[in-house]
Amino acid sequence: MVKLPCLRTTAAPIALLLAATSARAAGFDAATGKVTTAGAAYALSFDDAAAIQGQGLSGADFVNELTFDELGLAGRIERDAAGIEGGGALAAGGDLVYVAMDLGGLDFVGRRIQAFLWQKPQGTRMMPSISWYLGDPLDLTIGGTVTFQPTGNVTDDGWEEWTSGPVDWAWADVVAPASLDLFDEGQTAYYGGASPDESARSLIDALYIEDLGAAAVPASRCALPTEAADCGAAGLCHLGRCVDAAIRVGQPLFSDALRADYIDRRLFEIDHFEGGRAPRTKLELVREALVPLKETPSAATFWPTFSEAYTLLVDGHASAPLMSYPAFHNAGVCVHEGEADLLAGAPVVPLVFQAFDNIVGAALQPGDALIAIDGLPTADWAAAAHRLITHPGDPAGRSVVTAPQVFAAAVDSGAVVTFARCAAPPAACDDPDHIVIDLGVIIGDPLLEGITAVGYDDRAPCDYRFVRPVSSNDQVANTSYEFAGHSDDAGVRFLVINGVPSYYSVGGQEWFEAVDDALDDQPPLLVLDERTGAGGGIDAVDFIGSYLIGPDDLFGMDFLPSFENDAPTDDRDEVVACSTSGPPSGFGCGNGFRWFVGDAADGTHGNAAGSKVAVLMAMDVSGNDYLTRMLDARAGETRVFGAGAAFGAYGVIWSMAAHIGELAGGSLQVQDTIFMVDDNDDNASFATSTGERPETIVRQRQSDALVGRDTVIEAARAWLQETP
Amino acid sequence: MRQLERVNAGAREPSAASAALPALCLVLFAAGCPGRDPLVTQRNADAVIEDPPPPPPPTVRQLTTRPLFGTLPVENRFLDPLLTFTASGWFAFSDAFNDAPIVHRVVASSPTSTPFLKIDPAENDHAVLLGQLKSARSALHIELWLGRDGDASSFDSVEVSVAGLFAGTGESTTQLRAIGDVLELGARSWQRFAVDLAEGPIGWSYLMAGDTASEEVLYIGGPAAIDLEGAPSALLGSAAPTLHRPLTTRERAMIAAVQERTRSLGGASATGVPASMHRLPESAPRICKARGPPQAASAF
Repeated sequence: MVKLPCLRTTAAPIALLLAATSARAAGFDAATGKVTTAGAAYALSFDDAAAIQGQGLSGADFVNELTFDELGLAGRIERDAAGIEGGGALAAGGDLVYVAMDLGGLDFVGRRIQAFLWQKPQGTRMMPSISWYLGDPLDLTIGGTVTFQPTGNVTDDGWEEWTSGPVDWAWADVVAPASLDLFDEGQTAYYGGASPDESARSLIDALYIEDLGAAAVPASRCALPTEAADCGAAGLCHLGRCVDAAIRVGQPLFSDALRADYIDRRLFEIDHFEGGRAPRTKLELVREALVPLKETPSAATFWPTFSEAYTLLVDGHASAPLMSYPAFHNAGVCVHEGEADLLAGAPVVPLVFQAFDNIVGAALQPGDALIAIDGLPTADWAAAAHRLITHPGDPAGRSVVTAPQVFAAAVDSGAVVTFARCAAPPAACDDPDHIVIDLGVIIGDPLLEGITAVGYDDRAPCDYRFVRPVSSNDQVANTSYEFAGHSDDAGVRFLVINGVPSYYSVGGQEWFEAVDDALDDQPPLLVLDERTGAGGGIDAVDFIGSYLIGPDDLFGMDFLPSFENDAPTDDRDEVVACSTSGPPSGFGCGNGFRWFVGDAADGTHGNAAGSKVAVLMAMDVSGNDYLTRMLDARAGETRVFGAGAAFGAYGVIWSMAAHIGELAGGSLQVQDTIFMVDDNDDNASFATSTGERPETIVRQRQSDALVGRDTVIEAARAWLQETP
Repeated sequence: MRQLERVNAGAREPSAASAALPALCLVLFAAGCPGRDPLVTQRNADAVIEDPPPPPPPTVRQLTTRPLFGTLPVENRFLDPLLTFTASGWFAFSDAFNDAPIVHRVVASSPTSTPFLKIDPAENDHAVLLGQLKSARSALHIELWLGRDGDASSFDSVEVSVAGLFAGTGESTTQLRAIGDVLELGARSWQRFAVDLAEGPIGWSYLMAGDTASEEVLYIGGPAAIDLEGAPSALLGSAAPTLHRPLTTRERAMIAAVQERTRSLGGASATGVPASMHRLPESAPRICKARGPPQAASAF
């Protein structure tokens, strides 16, 4: 092979090499049964200690908290013709759970490359990836990651070929990748319950990089709506710059056979595992979206198409497999849907609810209305940004739920955002100030210059509330999932929850106690503020729900798996008979069960059934879908306030498996639900896909925001205090 | 039924694809890994299966290809056929029940060319593995491979069954039985276990596998559950009638525990950003130091 032992110490040999190798024929040699890297632009042999010296390698044993330098890694080289290239191979994995190769010494800026390596699992497998980091070296933020894919090529003695696929070397043609990382996938299994095996190994060999020519993505600025024209077929717009799509959203599978199998498997999962009856009827829509991907292995479209296709199910629990990091977060600014009533036409647009102390937040203030992005009306821009803005639930809730995503998408793409600012009433706002922020310039450009003004993880704790009517307590912030707390104001009890955490989950017991404290004295006027409702457990749903509804208001719910058969059967009867014959939680029963309202009540069923209740909703999914539905069944005075539908996610959510090293395999709802008012209820309608709607449509108004008033709370308070 | 249906169809009416599959399999696993499909292809466990001729001595390494799921069908009703533990697909319970058992995922040569699990009694008090599969009231074939170290291994003490809600019967379990000969692959011996059901259980079902008697290491892999187009026992030949028995107290407890772990009513984000997402050099050590006890992927 061609060894380049000094390559990493100077850029000069690279230039010489690139000049000499416009094409190469490296690969598997059938005559010798070996891989040859001759002609590669870079090649790393693991033949012996000398071969890896100066190559920027390091390793780590996280369990025993040990690190490996190149000398240490040399001790993990297996020789005696162990390799598929040359004579040696690196025995990674097990206690050497992580191996990194610093790519800083390589200079392929302006070039398009494809990296390969071979590995031979001997108990475990290493997941290779290349990562790009931006910003301050002491405060780096992620720019993107390309996870290698198997090519499908294997040898009869167990070697596997993996590749990065074609990718431009530099992020935006400027920032070179930081490292090539190998991570023992046994660590991934650990989090699901399997134990890593410290003695497991995977032999690593034949790591090489091909130079495919000039970079495919132009080094130019861009805007998301025009990214196809700005960045070409291989690029996407990220932080205001054209970036190789593979870096931003991940590579597709390159092997036609593997890619077809992968798509077929995901469709099979939907066809058989999906429990929502309405979503099950949407399978063909998903199929129509995904099957064409078998023919087009494009990084720019593959995973984004998955992401959008899963929303076609209208399964509020569905999420597509994830091959890359999601979008940048909110950059420290809480933006939610509101009514810009001070502007002409009082448009419904995202409003700033809170702005925190950073370079973006400092330019904004509550009540600022996001009226344009990249020169387009916000709604038009959001429609063009579909790859970054998705909502799996009831479409009637989309604009409310996704308003924060609109701003996050603007941050991620480096858009130019325009906010309209008005003075507080009674001043007129005929000529509002326009606050124009080029997010690409103030976030993206500094990152290229080694300055982290706003990093990937910089985010504000936003929760769809303009005012949080209950303060944080000593243990839990009022924006945290497990928070529950109450306060009284002018005869109105405010109970704030952000989900319905199960009793046995983290913070669950305290949540139950806080709800009990809030409802035990049967407050006559109650605002249940679940504007952030992330769901949780059926026990918590039932505990708070049954507190508030009378014993005769709602009988129960049947949680039922898919029966996969359109013909009438007695499957539901079988499940119900099974689940009601055992202990309260039943056993398996096909993963179905009947839940009787009040089962989780601790002598509290109906204790607050007489309260007049205003329910505030905005982003409510799953457990909070159920809770809102239960409250809708109250005989007592109840009204729901908000602007969009809940998700309509009636069933449990299960993770799907990650088959090819995805960051996550996605998720599906594996049940659907039938509600019953009484034990004679012959309702057979499944609930999924249609969330509860507010009876009173109300959004945060810009005029109220400017004086610190929460429009939704005030509307609820006014209704509660109406005299009958 | 991409892979297996081709095989099934081939047994009735040979097609190019079905005829090619066993050959492909032999090519794929010339190193001694014949996979499941040739046995399935026979569709008759009582037939005389001739031993394949010994492969020629390895001289030059051969290049071939491997499908995404090895020889397992894409249309596999197991939630997590590759045993990745990234889904709500697999759970393990120790004999003492409250202890977290030690189950290792092994990526190495196997009958189906897919990863498998290792349960070592030396590390556990006889863990039992439970896998979730989606079934329906139609003819169903379920199988998996169990392995041992060495070449003279016994599978007499292993227990493999599928528990589910059978219409008209209620919640019950039925045994999988050993099919075919023991297969030697490298330093391990493998035995296929399978059952054909005239009518599968309603909803989700639970495959249970373990050995609470032996002190030998047990390997578990190659789970497959596929629809049968033909009559039950179409794959297994003149199989004995499927017998159901009530669940034991321990089986009920395991299933109840799985139910407890998989009843999340959280949003899609409730599944969280998985640990595998944190493949960053600087963050990985923090993750490992901070990690708690293993949890089901779907647990809230």
